[in-house]
Amino acid sequence: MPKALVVDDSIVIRKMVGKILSENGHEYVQAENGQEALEIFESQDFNIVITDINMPIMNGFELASAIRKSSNGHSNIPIIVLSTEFSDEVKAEGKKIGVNAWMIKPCDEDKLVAAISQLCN
Amino acid sequence: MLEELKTFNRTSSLEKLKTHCLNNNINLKEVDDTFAPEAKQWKSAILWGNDDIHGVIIVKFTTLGILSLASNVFHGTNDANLFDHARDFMKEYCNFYAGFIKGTFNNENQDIKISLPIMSESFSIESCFGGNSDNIICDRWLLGEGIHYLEVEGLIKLSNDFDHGKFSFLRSIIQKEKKVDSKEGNIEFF
Repeated sequence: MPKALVVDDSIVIRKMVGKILSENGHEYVQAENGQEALEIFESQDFNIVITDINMPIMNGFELASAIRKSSNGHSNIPIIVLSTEFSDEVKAEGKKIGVNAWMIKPCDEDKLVAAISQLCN
Repeated sequence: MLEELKTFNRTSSLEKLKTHCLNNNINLKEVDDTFAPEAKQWKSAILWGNDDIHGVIIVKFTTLGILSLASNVFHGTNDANLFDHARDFMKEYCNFYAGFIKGTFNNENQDIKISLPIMSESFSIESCFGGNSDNIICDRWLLGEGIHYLEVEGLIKLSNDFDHGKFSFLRSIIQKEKKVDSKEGNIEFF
């Protein structure tokens, strides 16, 4: 089963996403901002990253950009953005950075699980 | 145009709170003299805007009220940090609400940015614009159900040369009941 890195400054959202992942047999590690996530990403192996955009210290775009430039051998890991942002402009910026999929909050369990399955296979 | 902006603000806050709390019974009512919070209120707030328009949203709530309104979210949670989570939940609500405003305006080619949400016991709307009351629109309303209501304050400051025509799309959204579809829960692959 894929191991996910869940990044969101809201503990409620991390718990909600974590519950979905656990109930579907996925292992996950959580981080509360991009910087913490990047440190974890560099020290562990993951199959997918699920990240918010609007976060303190390091936002989700900065995290995605740093992952794509990483030299740890996993720079092409699938990245799903889970955000309240839905404008075409912001999504285009994510696409340019190399985000693989964009989910608009609130999180839909079935769609998230299907997306993880699709991106990890 | 200002009335449309107020209506858009109120309607968005209501719809986003219903979604966030998984509670379709939440309704909107006016603030009246009988409204009195049942306990100490917290304030979650967020800023949005650009060079021409600056908005502040302040949501005043009690943790018990939120745990009641969002009982479908917190149901079954037996956590020592439940009250902290209720406050975090309301920061996320501000983010959700302001994110909707941003997305709606951005998709009409109006560049709007939002701040990170703030949580405070003492934040007030008077502290936002340094006592300058020119071109400021203030509005207050209540959202909730039964005995539990939270108070929302929406403050908007317009620049002196503000072009009201920029926001004419709001009129069609409200008057024609055009739905702003943020496609919540949808996923898009790139």
